[in-house]
Amino acid sequence: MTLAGRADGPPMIFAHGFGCDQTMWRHVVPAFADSHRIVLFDHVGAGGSDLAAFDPDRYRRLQGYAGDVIEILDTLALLPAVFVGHSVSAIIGALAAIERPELFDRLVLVVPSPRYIDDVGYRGGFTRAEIDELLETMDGNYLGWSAHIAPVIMGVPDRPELAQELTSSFCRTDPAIARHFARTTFLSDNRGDLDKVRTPSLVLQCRKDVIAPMDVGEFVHAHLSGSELVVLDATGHCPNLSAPDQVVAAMRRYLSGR
Amino acid sequence: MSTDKWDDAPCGLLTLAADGIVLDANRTILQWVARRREDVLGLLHLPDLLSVGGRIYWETHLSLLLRVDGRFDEVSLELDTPYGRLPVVVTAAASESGESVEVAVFSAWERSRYERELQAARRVAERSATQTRALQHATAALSGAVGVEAVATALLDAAVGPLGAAAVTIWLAEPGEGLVASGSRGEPVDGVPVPPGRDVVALRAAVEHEGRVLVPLHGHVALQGALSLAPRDDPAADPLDLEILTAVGQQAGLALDRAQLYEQSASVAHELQQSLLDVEPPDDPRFAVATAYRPGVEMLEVGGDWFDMFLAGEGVLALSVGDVVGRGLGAASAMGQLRSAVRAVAEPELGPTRLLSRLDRFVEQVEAASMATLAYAELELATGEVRYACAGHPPPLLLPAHGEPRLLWDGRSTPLGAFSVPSQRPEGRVRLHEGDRLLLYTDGLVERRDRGIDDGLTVLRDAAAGCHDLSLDKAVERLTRTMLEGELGRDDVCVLLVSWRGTPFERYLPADLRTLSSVRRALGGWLANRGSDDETRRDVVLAASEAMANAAEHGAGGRPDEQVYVRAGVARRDDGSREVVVTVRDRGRWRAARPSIERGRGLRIIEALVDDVLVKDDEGTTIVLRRALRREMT
Repeated sequence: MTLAGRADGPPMIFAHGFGCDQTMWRHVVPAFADSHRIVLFDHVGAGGSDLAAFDPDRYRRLQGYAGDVIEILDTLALLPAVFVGHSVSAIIGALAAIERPELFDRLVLVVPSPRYIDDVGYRGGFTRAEIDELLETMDGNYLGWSAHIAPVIMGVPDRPELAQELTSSFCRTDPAIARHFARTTFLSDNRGDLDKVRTPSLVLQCRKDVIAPMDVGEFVHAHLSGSELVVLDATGHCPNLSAPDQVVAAMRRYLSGR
Repeated sequence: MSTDKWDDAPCGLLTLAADGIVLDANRTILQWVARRREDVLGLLHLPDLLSVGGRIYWETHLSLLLRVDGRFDEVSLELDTPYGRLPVVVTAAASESGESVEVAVFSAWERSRYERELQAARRVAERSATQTRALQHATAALSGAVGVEAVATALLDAAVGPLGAAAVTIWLAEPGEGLVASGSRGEPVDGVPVPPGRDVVALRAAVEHEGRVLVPLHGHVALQGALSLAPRDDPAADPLDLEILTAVGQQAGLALDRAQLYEQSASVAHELQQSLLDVEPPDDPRFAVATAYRPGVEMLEVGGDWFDMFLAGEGVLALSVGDVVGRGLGAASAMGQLRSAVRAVAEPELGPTRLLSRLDRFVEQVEAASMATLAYAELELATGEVRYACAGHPPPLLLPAHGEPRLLWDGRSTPLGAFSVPSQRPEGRVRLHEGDRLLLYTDGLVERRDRGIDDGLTVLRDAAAGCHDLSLDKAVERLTRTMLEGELGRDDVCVLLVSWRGTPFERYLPADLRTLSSVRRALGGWLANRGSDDETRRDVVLAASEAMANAAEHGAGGRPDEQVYVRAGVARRDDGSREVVVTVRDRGRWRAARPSIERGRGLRIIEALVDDVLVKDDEGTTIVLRRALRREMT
């Protein structure tokens, strides 16, 4: 966990999505460091987290991850926080806010999806078979994500700094935990929980996102009472990296409009 | 691509914009995906050329890596082609400015097949390790379970534990009733419809049934029961493993077989032991006896403890308490044989020493009774004389009516049939006084896991001292409760407590009272022998004389052919103190018309001398006098 920003500022906690770690907020965090107390953390199994803390039973449901968010906020004993969550972590934040609304001031939900798999009358974007295909792809690559990749990078003489960075960090997830997290993420169905959220929220949707398509963003907006929907002119599932300026601007507008 | 040379390179080469749009592609890759250059450039993203899994992977991992690290290396992906999916290995690097990305794509048919085989092998190994773990756990739990209920419990716990079910119900086959729900975890015990027994009987393996898994539990000869498991519904849960559940079901069926056999044998042993211990003491006013049998905490395990009492001859009460080695049906039946043998070999004038020698010979024939331990005592009811011997058995405890309890350490020898049996086993002797008690017991009373037998005997002595004032039954109850308090998993315990009441004083005297003075002297002597003080003796003798005179005069009319009966005994009061009870009876008919002044005067004298007087008139008149045996020291 990383604490940064203004010590006496209102708290803002960032939760990374599936497949990454807290580094993904690197272009967004600086914009709020002057005004907010920044809390960054890695989900268990990701980035610099303690792998031993992973309990397959606890994390069988997203509620397990939501419990971690609550624990962090409880431990820090801050004022009600602005929660910024990417992708699956947007849903994790919503679940945490249902359980302990007093801990949360606002929710910023970046490309959320309450269910990735198509259902009757609902288009999540994927079939169950396609999710299995993703798991297969992950199985085919997980060796590459840990120790194996570093020597290859070290063999690039003109960019030696890369080796350092990669061996230490980004997207380095324990393969078994990543697989488990992938199943929990992509096979969960939290559509029924959206109605229970009472915390005001901002939904950020990308114009072109295969993971969380437009329909899904609108579904979330429609089922979250007191939510605002902002569609970013961005492609892909990670606007905080591909279009950080738009994300920052939308957040600023939303947070100042209270 | 700028030159034909790159166009026909043996790998696919692409240039992407920062957002993944394909800016340029060589002929190799276009051929792989069977697309025309103009349909791709500026229109498609690289992920559009990938399989769905790869596409998600790109969005969630690879595009992020490109943005943060500027490259990724050797990632296995699949191209989506009209001929199926083509395994490739992809390396990509962003330009210095981050505005474009150069991508190299290598086909990986062979390598991919090899990797898939490795992965498959690994998955098989992992699954088999998981299965083995779950099976081992379940097997260990089942084999550790004693009794049908324990097996069912172990099975339920394993089901929601290592076997990964969300909920589970077990039915057991009851004779004549079919399958009966007997336990559940995570759901109400009668919440799942009973599967038709006929269908389950036909099952040889676990099957999926209405969203659950049904597992038959077959015993050797018949269906023992069925198990129904509900899978977990959380997204990351593994499905229930039919193979492993089939194996666990087979083990459980056999475990239920075993448990049933065991319970049958245990219950037979238990009944046998109970019936053997159900003994009526001989009817004789000179003694009283109380017994207790406490089965071990593990009710299923019957030990070989016994107690017994019978008349070994005229006026000789034989007492035996013993313990056969081992547990279960075998021990119970050996106990029965040995106990009967004690009765069979006992005879008047034989005595403990020779009785034990005969038993030594008996256990040579009956292997299961060998090394049994035994305390045997013979009580001469007329005199209170006790001869006793202990073959490897804890010492009897003497509880005198006056004085501290003491252990009787004489007459000790080795267990029956032991390797070095002495040619003549020793015996001990002790003289009981009226109201004295003798305690025989098995080692379960004094031996506990948390204290040795020596400490146990000390505790027993102290506990017995505290029971001094209690009636016989209450004393046994208190003693066993005190001794066994807080002991878990204890052994069987047999306890026998006998009290010698001594011989009562009994005389018939003629109604002309010519023998009155000799009867008075004899009663005085009898009272002295029972420990009464001088004053009490004088008072009781005087009160009894008055009652006898009254009876002779008014009941028998002074006729010499009529007789007056007098009896004196010692009894224990509720508070534990002892009293002398004198009963005087005439056979004359009480007549209402008869003047009763004389008799009334006599009664007043008597009342002044004793603690309580009771007069009963029916076929004659009976007067009962009670007086504390000893005057309280004040």
